[in-house]
Amino acid sequence: MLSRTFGALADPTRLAVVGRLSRGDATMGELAEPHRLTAPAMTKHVGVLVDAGLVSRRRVGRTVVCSLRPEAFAEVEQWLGDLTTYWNSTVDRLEELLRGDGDGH
Amino acid sequence: MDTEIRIERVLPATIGKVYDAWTRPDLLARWYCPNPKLDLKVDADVRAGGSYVVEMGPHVVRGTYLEVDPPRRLVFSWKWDGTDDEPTRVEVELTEVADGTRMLLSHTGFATAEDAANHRMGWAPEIERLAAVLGVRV
Repeated sequence: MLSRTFGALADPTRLAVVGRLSRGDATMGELAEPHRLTAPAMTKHVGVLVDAGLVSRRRVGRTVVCSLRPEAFAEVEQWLGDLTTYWNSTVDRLEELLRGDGDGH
Repeated sequence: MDTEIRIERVLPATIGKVYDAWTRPDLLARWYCPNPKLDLKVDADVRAGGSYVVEMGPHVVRGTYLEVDPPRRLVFSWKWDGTDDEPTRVEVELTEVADGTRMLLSHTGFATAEDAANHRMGWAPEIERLAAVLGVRV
């Protein structure tokens, strides 16, 4: 699985698509917009990501909406990030818990 | 770049509450992972020599408690399943201050600065870092 992921992400457009989808679902149009690619070319890139199990597509009316698959999200996390960010994000959640805790445990 | 990560925060709670958050599995299960979307399970035997397992979705980290000194100090080893990495070491020191509790977290024991920086189980998708690994620009 990791080598498929690596191959699928070893392309700047696909990397950017995964980055965009990590922030939320997007239509094929929204994904294509920042890149100077034809629709079929973008469809092909998304197809590679779908085959690698990173992205799923669904039809919503007449549009196709793409999402990052949760398993892939976790897998993508394996490659990314750094420890300072890891602990800062985790401690942010500790802070929220401590701040919001009103039940006097 | 250091081979050590240090995080310092003043947390808005008493030292006892902060220590509890770090040592009660039921409380750990509410925050102890950077990604709230992952299913978090914590099992911890918090005493010197006791062990813990934290499951964050598919990612599992384990270790042993090295020092347990309530409410001021907690030291434990840290190793992700599925890696050949040497265990690293996390130290949490708590001090009472005027507005709450100062927490100093140190994560040390990385072989190289790059290991410390490229800790595999990061959160917050940092596409730039992956791009650097793959030698592409985004």
